Amino acid sequence: MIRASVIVLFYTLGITACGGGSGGNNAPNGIPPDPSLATFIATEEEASRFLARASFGGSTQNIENLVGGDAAEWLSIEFNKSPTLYLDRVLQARDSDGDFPSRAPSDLYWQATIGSNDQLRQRMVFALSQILVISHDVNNREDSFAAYMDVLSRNAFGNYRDLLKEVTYSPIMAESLTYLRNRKGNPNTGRMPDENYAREVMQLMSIGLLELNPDATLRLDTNGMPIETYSTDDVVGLARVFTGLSFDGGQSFFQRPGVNDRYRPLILFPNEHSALEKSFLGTTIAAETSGEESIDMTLDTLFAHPNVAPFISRLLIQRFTASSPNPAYVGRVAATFESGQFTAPNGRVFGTRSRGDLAATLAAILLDPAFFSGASTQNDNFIKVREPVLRFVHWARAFGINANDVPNESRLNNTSDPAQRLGQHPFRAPSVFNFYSPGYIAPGTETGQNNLTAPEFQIANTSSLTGYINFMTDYVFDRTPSGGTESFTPNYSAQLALADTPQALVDNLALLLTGNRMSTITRSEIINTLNATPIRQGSEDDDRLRRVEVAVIMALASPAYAVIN
Amino acid sequence: MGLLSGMTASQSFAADTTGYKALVCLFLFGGMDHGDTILPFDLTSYNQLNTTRDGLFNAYGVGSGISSRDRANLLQLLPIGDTTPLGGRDFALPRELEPLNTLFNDGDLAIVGSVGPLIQPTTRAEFEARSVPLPARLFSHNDQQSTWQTLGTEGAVFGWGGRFIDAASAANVNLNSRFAAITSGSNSVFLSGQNVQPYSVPAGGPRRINVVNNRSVISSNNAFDNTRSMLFDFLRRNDTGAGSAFARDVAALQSEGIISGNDFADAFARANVDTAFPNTSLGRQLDSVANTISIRNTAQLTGTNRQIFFVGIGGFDSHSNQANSLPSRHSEIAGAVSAFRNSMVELGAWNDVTLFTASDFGRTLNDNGDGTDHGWAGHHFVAGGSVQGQQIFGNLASSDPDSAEYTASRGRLIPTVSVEQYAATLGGWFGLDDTELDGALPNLSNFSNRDLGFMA
Repeated sequence: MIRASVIVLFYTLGITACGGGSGGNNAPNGIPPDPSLATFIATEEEASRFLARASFGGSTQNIENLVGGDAAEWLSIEFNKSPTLYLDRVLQARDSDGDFPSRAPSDLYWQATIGSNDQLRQRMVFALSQILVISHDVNNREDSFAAYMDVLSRNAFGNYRDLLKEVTYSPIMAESLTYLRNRKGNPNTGRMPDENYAREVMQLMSIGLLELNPDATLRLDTNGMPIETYSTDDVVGLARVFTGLSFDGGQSFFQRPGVNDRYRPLILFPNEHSALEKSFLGTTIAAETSGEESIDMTLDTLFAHPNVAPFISRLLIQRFTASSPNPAYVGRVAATFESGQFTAPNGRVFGTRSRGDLAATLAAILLDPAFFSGASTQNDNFIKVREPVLRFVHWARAFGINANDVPNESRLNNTSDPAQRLGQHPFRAPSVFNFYSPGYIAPGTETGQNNLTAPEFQIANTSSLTGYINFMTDYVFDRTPSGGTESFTPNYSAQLALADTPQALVDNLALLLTGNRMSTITRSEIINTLNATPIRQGSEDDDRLRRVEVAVIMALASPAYAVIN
Repeated sequence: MGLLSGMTASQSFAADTTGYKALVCLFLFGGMDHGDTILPFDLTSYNQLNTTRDGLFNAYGVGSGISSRDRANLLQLLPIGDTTPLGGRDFALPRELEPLNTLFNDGDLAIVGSVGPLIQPTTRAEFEARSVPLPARLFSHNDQQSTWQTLGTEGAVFGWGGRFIDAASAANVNLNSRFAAITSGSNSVFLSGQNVQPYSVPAGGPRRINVVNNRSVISSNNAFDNTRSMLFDFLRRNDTGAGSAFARDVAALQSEGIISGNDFADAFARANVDTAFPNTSLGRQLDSVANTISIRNTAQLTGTNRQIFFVGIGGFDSHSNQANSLPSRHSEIAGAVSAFRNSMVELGAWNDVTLFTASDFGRTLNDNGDGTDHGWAGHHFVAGGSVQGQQIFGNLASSDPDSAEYTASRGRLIPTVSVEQYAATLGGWFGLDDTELDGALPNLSNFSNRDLGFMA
């Protein structure tokens, strides 16, 4: 049940809006910036482009702060920031009946995307939420969701093996992939363990379906055919491992969870864990091995598979920088995943030297030389389609939206409808397969003809693009009142000052929103439209605002804003 | 026209595109449990299923007398035609599918059993020995969704729905294919062809661009008419000079969406279906399909003689809690399909429209306690005025997981009808000839029976 008084109390505990990190100049123990290095950020457009890749988008202030610094130092600062966490705030918002404000976890995440200071970490949370996907109704699971968000946030720069273990023991993952209270088989009735997590932890979260080379290209057999990584027998064998897990705190396997049980890691109930031998992927776990030990041995086996580095690296690249990365780029990142260490051009060293180190992997993704040499300018292997949530949040950050207003925005309760909203909502993918598939190639397109993968195009179509423009129109023109409460009010003061000179206004938006990737045709069309938009005597202020709003919606609907480039 | 353009005999395009015909693909995402959809009804088979699915039947409360899976509460199917292949066995639907039971017994609905992807006819021995070519990545959701739609694993870019429209367009240059392939929202590769791309009509109908069409957004003052007009030109401009192929693709899609969207919305304003649909996801989607069919003769859709629609709902991946999740899904299907039938009768189009189900796969015959896992073949429904209704085609398998109808592991049903035979039977009714069917369905020629007989 939602209670207004609880919400007010709850959200005053919310984070306050602030910037997206300061420039490399201000790094503690910072390495002084050296303009001769590739990762030195010399211009505002370089800063804008880098922040579009590494955060939810830069504000004018974020961009200015980064100029004259080194991208590696920006990363170093981000890696050392304390994480935004969710569970404690959701628990504090619980009412006397033990219920939570139903929007709580989602609103806190929207707030973080728009206003948190640990932008890279929260962007990584979004990326990880699309690899280790929860697809479950949030109602009555608010604490369970928040606990999972904390797992991703705390481990965002940690090690993938550790993350996979915490995910495996997460109640919401167990509910989503149905291994909560999964029982060992019963030979008398023919009952078999649930295969769901066994299959998907391999297919989607660790090794994938097909054997990969270190650059994520397919290994082929002697007939030139791909090689499947596992068989049905492997799934049947692995399914025995994920039996016997249920809530901590209960006296029995089937006991209903107590008020504090849904957010704590699951525990093993030995009587319901399969005592049989578990055989999969060439590993055999002896009969009578405990559940905890079986899970550890399983995750070690999966993690040791040579597919993990290229598979996970490519998925992360797609979420940050490139929808269709070329093998060489994937190979560079995967090698870093393997070594657990990345050294930036300025000598800054990232990572612990442990295989699967995510900070090192992220540094390799974001500091790849291709993004700093100018080589990536028109190269489709270094361009990412900007997914709808990123398109919306970048607008909010660019124009100073106060993150504390999120709860007043009724539409942010659910942005999943493609016809009228974004067709995407964080943590609400329609299935464990996420919003889109990493291998999706869009039929009937130029990128499809060029065999470029474009996962984000799987949710882009004629009606969703209209829906996006309409959704953004309401925000850009500040048409989103919600019952008289204060809602998102964009701060266009910098743009209003340029409204009388359309060229300057377009320059401003092109830098802020597209890192100066706007085409000549787009620029001139916006300028022409603005010139045709009168500023009338006696209503100058209103008309200047109209001009700015028209310019912003055009920029947001421009092809340049559809991608991160 | 094939002769005039100098085609050889094997390339001649002869699809019959006279009159109006439409196919509606209802995709059940997640893999619907065929074994809990069409249940055995004769006492022996029913009892055997009760034993095999002890956990699931317990979860349903079988034996209570009020359970929907108690035999007394099942709705018996009364098939006509040749029932010899059923070997004297009887079948039934759960009560949540009551409207489909009525459609079946009224002759508006047929059942096709054991449909799934195959490269060629395959026995259990051949499957276990891998001695025949098999579809790749069986039991994987995304790949089998793709295989059902395209006959290839994920990454394939042409669906057999799109290829059917391609064939119809090639045979008739006057065919209007702009709104021939229509999806209710999700990007269905099923409808992508060489020359046709799906047009998305969301539940509730098409939307216009508010910033242009709603004058109050910018200003209702005429002084801003030029702004609106230039803004509209900007939004629908395809040639934007964008530097990357990804950005050009978005621009093209946006342009197409806005231009077609306006035309479609003009036509849709004249949609006139009175039949009430259930307020469910599928109900709203099929409501949009019915209203779209109702405008097939408007000026904007002139010449749209052949249409294929794609609708879908999820929630069928019932590894757990199946006794609670599947019945509500069944109710949603039955209510929406029944309303759709009524709407087509209202429009006088029921004989011209065929709705068929598709799904990732069926599920294991052995349960896992309170759910079922990924299988292979499943049973499907075909509804329409031209369907040979009240008949059962294909194989409705036994309840014995050790039977050779299943793989050796966990009772995964082996198809006896390939997706391509199922598709070819629909495609033949849609108007395609044998050459065109072979072009759209690459493995069809491996099967001797190209027409399963469920279409009139």
